[in-house]
Amino acid sequence: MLWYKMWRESGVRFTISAAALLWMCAMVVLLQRRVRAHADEPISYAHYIWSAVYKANVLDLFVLLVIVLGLGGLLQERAQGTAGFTLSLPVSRWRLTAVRAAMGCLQVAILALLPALLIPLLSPVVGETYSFAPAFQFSVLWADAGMVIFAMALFFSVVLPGAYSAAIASVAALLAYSILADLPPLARYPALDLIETMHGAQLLASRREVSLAALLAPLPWLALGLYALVALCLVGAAGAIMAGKDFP
Amino acid sequence: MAHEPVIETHRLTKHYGKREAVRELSLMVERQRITGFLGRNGAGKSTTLKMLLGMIRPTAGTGRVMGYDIADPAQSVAIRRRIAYVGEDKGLYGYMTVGELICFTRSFYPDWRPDIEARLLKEYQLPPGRKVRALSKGMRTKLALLLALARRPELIMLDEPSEGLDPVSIDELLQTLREARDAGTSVFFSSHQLSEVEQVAERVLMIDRGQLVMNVLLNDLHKHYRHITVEFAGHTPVPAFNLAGVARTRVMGRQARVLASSHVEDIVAYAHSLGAAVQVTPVNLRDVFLDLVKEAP
Repeated sequence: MLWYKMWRESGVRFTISAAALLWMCAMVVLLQRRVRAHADEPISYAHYIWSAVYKANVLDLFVLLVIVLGLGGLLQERAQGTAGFTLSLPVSRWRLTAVRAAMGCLQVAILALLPALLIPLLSPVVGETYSFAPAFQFSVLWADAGMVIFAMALFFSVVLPGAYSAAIASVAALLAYSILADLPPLARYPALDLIETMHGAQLLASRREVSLAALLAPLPWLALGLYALVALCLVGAAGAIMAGKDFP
Repeated sequence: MAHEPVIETHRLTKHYGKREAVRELSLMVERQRITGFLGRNGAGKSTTLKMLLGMIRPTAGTGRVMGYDIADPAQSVAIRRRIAYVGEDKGLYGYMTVGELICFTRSFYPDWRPDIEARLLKEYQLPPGRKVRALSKGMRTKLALLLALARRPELIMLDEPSEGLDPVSIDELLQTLREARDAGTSVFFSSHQLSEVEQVAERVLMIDRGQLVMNVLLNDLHKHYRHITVEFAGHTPVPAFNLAGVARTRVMGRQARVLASSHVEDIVAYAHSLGAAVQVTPVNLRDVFLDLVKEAP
């Protein structure tokens, strides 16, 4: 039933996030003719989708929504006066953190999957086609990198009191990280650039064969593995801090 | 009859920076008794209860609840499985309905008693479909009690349970605590409402500035504790009453006011031997509380 609690606490945020993401994706698809007509150079529909969804506006929105999903937790509950009840339940704080993280990661994965479902289904309405395969590849990138962003927000929500401090710290940390990743010593390792990895520029050039191998091969698995590890470490650190915290 | 302990602490201490919230507190709460935990605001009652529940880590000392070590996180989970706690703010999830919260809480306790749940739901007139956030404070307290009692815990800890309740609700609450005790549950509750403690508690633990200042059975207090007012004439210096049974002495001018927990006759005889006029009066919990925790003039 901890799952139920975590869902009830984040369900509204998740539903609003999903609606916002779907609305943005739908707008990108439905307004494609007008936007492409004003482009400096003619671009393909696939390239337009990439630049509007996976590289720019929708990605930015996704990142912000993931940060919002990472907020909450016991410090917030303390402010609302319910931490005492939660902490009196016969569950460890590790389990509370783990279930919250698992619910959040699941929600991030579903959010990441939404563009992959909507864009291919909506494209025929505007006389275009967009296959599920590349959309799914981008979803994998977003889900994995999104988990790092979620874990970072969760970490800050455990460390910092106040409703918005974790969100502000997460945005600041992401900006700082993006600047660092562009500096010469780190720029040599593009796999370390989280946002660049989410852009998935290399996927544009990949072949469009319909097979699992062709679907999975172009994905940067090393970077994805690294991000998953970072997310796990952040959740672990959050759990350790939470386990040792006093709730007077 | 000797009552075995459900809670034991030994030199339990909690510091917040330089401030000592609880100082070397050694206490024992007996099984199947109602024990009141008295103290002023900020005396350390809530901190003690939260240390027993694993919400706050002790700085020093040890504590055991139902035999489990309070400082061990795994054993702390076992403690919370066997006991119930009603916090001071009665903070329950406002976004759930009464029914959903009962269902949620029930899932953590295999020993949940649906018959008790149904009885209390009816008795407290709690509407299952209403959101918790829409309940009055009194109703929220009743819901918190239902969640605590519907599995007949071995021990129930309550932090200021009557805070914000009207007199009728307080009366019902005290009755509930008596019934819980009669059903075999040990009750440990903190309060600064002396009349409530006096109505329901069998033993009283009094804490002041983080330290235990009194541990007494209420019957013993009424039977043995006395105020002895000693009036000295002339210019005889008022002596120190360092005698057996003297709990506290206050000197005001030519008068010494002695709170005696025992040996009243010996103290009176000593005062008479000094040529003083002596008056002995019975005490109630309020007198003792004020005597022990009130700042010296």
